[in-house]
Amino acid sequence: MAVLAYCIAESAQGGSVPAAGVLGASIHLLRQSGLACLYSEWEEAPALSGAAVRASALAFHRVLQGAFAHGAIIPFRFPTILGTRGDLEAFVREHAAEYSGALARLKDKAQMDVRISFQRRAGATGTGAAYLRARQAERAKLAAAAREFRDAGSEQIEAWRERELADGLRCFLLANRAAVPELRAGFERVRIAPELTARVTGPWPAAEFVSEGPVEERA
Amino acid sequence: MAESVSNVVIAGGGAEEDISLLDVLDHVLHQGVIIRGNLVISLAGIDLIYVGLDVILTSVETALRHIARAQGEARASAARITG
Repeated sequence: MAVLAYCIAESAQGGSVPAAGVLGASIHLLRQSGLACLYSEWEEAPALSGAAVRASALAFHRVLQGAFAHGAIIPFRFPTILGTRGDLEAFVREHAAEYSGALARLKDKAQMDVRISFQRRAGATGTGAAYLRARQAERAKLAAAAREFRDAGSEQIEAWRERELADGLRCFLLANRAAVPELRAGFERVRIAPELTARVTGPWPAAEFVSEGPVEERA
Repeated sequence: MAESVSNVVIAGGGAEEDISLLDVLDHVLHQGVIIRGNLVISLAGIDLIYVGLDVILTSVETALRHIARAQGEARASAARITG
């Protein structure tokens, strides 16, 4: 039986299991080492192609949001499909201490994302040195915009991580769920350079803050 | 509806549809626990593939590119054998 894993939560967390998940499959609960893991299973691994990938990803997201509504979760990346339920059980058992600690730390927390990118770029011409100077100037503008958001939410933001993108900067911030409306209200007052655009989304499960270390770069 | 203040867009304040499909896909494909080791995945109707210890599954698109390349190599290899 192939198993698709959705997320891990504390076993004691309340709330009901969503009725159906990816490809309409039933959702099961695996309890292990004080943790609960949501998963679906099939006789054979499901084939996800074309439109099915998009629909399945959305169904996956709905399951995560349903579980996240009841408390902190650690989502698996879509699609994580293991060979058997035993494989999933072994994985959860092996990482139980790490995930229990993360769930306790992230209890009542949510992640907000801020993606800052260039609407239009100056486009460096000429020498390599000119290109490097243009890149440096772009980085400075992105950093200044990120600082605006960080300052606007300074009273609500508990942790902040950044990742450089090809076209901009992505910022992840951790806040109490209860503080999200106030955070959003603060962000509405943020002004950034006209050549930039920023998109704020959330609240999301705090996936970027599961590990306590600095976020790794994933280009 | 997403709220736009100058060049800052704040999405997801009310209805779920404020969050775009792109936002959702970006999250489920790029965020979350990655199982390292022998991960079994099935995509695009292709049989199971096993991702090695040092490979991180970053997205469906990436996986599809790997599959397409593997298929191309397999076809080229078969052509060499039969040719």
